[in-house]
Amino acid sequence: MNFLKRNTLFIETSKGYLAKLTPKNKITLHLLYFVIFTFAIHLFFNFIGVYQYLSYRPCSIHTWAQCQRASIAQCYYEDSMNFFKPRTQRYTPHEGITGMEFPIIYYVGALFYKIFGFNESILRLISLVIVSLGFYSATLMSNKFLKNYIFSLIIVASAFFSPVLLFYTPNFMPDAPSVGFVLMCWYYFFKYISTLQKKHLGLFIFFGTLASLLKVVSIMCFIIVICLLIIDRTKFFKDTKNTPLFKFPLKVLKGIFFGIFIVMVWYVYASWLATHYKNETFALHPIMGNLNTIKQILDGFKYGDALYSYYAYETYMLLIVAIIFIVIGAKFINRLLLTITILYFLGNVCYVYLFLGQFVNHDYYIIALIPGVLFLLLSFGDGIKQLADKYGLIIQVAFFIVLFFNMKECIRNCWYYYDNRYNEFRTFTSTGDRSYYDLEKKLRSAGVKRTDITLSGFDFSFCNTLYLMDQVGFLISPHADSTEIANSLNMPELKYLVLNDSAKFNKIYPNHFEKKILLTHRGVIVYKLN
Amino acid sequence: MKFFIFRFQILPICFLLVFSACRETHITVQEIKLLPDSLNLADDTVCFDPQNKTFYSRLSKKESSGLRYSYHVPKEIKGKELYIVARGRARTNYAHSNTYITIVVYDEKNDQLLWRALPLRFFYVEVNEWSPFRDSLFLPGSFDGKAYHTIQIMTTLGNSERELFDVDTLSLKIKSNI
Repeated sequence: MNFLKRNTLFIETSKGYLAKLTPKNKITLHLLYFVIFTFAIHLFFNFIGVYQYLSYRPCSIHTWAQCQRASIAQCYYEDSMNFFKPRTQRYTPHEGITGMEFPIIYYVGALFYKIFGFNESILRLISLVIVSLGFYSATLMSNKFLKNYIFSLIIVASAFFSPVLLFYTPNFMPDAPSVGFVLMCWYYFFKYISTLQKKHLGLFIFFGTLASLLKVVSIMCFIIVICLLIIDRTKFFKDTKNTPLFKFPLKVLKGIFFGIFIVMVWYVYASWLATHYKNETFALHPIMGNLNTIKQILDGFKYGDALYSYYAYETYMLLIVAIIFIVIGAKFINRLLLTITILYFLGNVCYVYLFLGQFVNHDYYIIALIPGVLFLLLSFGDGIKQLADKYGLIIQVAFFIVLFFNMKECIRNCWYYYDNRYNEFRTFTSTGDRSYYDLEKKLRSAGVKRTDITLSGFDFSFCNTLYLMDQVGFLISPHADSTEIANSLNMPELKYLVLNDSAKFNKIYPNHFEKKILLTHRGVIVYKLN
Repeated sequence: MKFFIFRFQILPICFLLVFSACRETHITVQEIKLLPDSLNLADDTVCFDPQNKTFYSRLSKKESSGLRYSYHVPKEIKGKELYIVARGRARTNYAHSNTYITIVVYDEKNDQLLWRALPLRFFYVEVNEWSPFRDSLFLPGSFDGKAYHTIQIMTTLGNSERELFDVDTLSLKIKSNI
């Protein structure tokens, strides 16, 4: 294979069996791919225990963020299905309306709640399905380059079998679904440049926009395509027939700008909502760090289990080898793949720089970096495949064996950390939450309505206790002083007080509430005030 | 199916199936049920519950401990991760109960390495009523590079002035990873 040939696009260098198949056989083949994928992913999810914990309420790490999101879905379901006014159980002067990332997942979740009744597993399932479809799209995309389905499956597995990603996959956060949509977006991008069909361009824009709406960092995929468009103008991607990568660059650019415009409009609206309703719940701006932040992150790697909760040791080794290979053997790698990998690397560096402050305590911020890892491994796989074509199949077999055992270690690592995050010690990290998991039933049977304004103390989170017992109202922070408590208690609409530490409360704010006890439950006392 | 069998595609699926059957797990290395014993008392007293016709251990003084069990970690599992699983039935008269199952770990020189507590307050659905509890504690393979020699597990009443803490059974399981 000569150097020029390596510059051509994957579709034109394709000499695999796919080219020889009839349309009917292609459908059968895709069906077979889907069956293999579903079987493999189901086996994996079952093995690491995803289904076992599907019915769990928000728990383990970052319950704060989990409850915030789950609260949005519950408030859609209970209060108002007005999509443009997402709200939480925690009230501000304007009944908890807040600005946030695009709440489509929570809205769909609320729609399912309306049909099947309130069940948090639905939100977890929605996220799981989106990410699984993303993995499937990534496998198909890899297959376009590697021309070997199982090989593609293992490459995708090596990139995505990260305990952190898997923990947030059947979860309430938007990070993992956003990555799922990014993968679908890339799949349709490659489909579009090979077929030039309008519907593929539309789907590329649609999924890219959706991903960016869920997590603004996903806009990186659009920015990378804009860079590809610019680079394409320099004839960098032109193949032997001298055809450019983008035959209709203006069309693509228009679509991308339309997507970016929608994302910008939403985030401007979200910021306005947060300011107007005085409820800034979600981080809608960059949080940069400093040298101390880097030290804290490194300490987490050194003393905590942060490092291997991102990837297995073997995957880190594989990634290092992949980087070395790409540096040395760049000429063997498909130019398009290589460019995307480099652009992803630069994009990820910018993202880490802008959000460094969040990386200290928010492990899920790493999820947005993972598509870059996929492209790195895909470039590596593509280079190896080209080497194998040149020097013999043995290289590919050796690479396959390495990947296979890496995948085995990834699975083991995922299982270990996944199980670890759900062990009883970690599940109840926010120990106080434990009292509220089944409090709602008792409240309702005692005649407490959901809409009865409740004051809940002591809660350092945003709305954990209010969400878990499904009461609207206000919180008392663990650092509240007597004036703050007095102000809260003086609200005329206040009906109930829920305390998880009455001794502390009595010390800060001496009272005679013991006569107003309505019920006790798992270390919590509920008082009827008015 | 030719293209499918071609390039060793069937083999990895078989491997996947084999690996999925090889899930590692923890094995129980010790299992014990502690019952109130008037001959072996710590700070507790043994009382009789006429309603349930059972004996129970009662702690009524603050910072006291009751039912106790000492486990000497055998050589075979030294350095391995351990899970302590405690289950039983308990009762209290204080809504914000300060009752715990406490786990204290010592090294060979009998120096204390770890002090961990499983709070039972989350299990009392009603005060003055028996509530079942089940909780577990994870112990890493070692602490500060020192291996565990003895693990002491006991019921404790924390800093509560007039709290009564009753336990009628305490079952313990110690699990180790393979």
